[in-house]
Amino acid sequence: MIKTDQETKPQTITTKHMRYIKHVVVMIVIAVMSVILTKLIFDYDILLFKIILPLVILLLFLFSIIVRRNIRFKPFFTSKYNLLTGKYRSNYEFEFSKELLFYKILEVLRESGFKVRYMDEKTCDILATSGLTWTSWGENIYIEFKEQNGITRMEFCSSSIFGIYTWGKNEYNYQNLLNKFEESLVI
Amino acid sequence: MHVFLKALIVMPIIVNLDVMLAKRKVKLKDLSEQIGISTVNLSILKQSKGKAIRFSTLESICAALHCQPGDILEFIESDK
Repeated sequence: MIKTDQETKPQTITTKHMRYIKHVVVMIVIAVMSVILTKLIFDYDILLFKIILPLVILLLFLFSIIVRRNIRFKPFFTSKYNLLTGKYRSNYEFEFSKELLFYKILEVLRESGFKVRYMDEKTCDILATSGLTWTSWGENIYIEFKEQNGITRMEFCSSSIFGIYTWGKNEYNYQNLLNKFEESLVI
Repeated sequence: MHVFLKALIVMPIIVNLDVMLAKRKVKLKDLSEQIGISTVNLSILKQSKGKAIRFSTLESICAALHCQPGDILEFIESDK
């Protein structure tokens, strides 16, 4: 039985409603910005908005798609200064050895529908990717493990490929992984 | 966002799989291949860190090691 020694916040109605309100507000902001941008493009013949900006965005998007599977670009996707990607970070501690947890998480990732693109048995680093959905171009999951005094800490980072706002998908990836891990402990 | 959570596993049920493996002189890898459960999961079971064990798993282990469930599972009363 896994127990947490820290009180988790109960899912109050207020917390749940706040999340939906946040999504609605973001949708409204995106709609307003789209209208303003469209008006600027058609009313003012500005080369920047018509050609350069869309081209830059398209190139950055293609670049992200091409390099996403390469672990060397982890700093690019996880950097807090990269405004093109939305990120979710969290840590979780387990009473497992680092090596055992590494292989267990690999197993859980594969069963959860993620594709493991890179794994290093020495450093216990993992890169997994998720596929295209209605709300996201896909995410990169970066996992590292650090062991101390018999406790292994999993450092998790889910980063969207392109898109500053992920509609809670990054957080969902984390919760899904933890839930699947707990389910997998029924052997 | 950084969230630290600590998971503690408290188990009054001990799994003596390593004892039975030693008695039957069977390696974990061989048992894994025989019953179709990964070595990772058997290791978790062996260390009593699993959440639960299915009857089908217990049956497979007992059949492979020619033993009883009581040989694999032991209850230790925890101090209150």
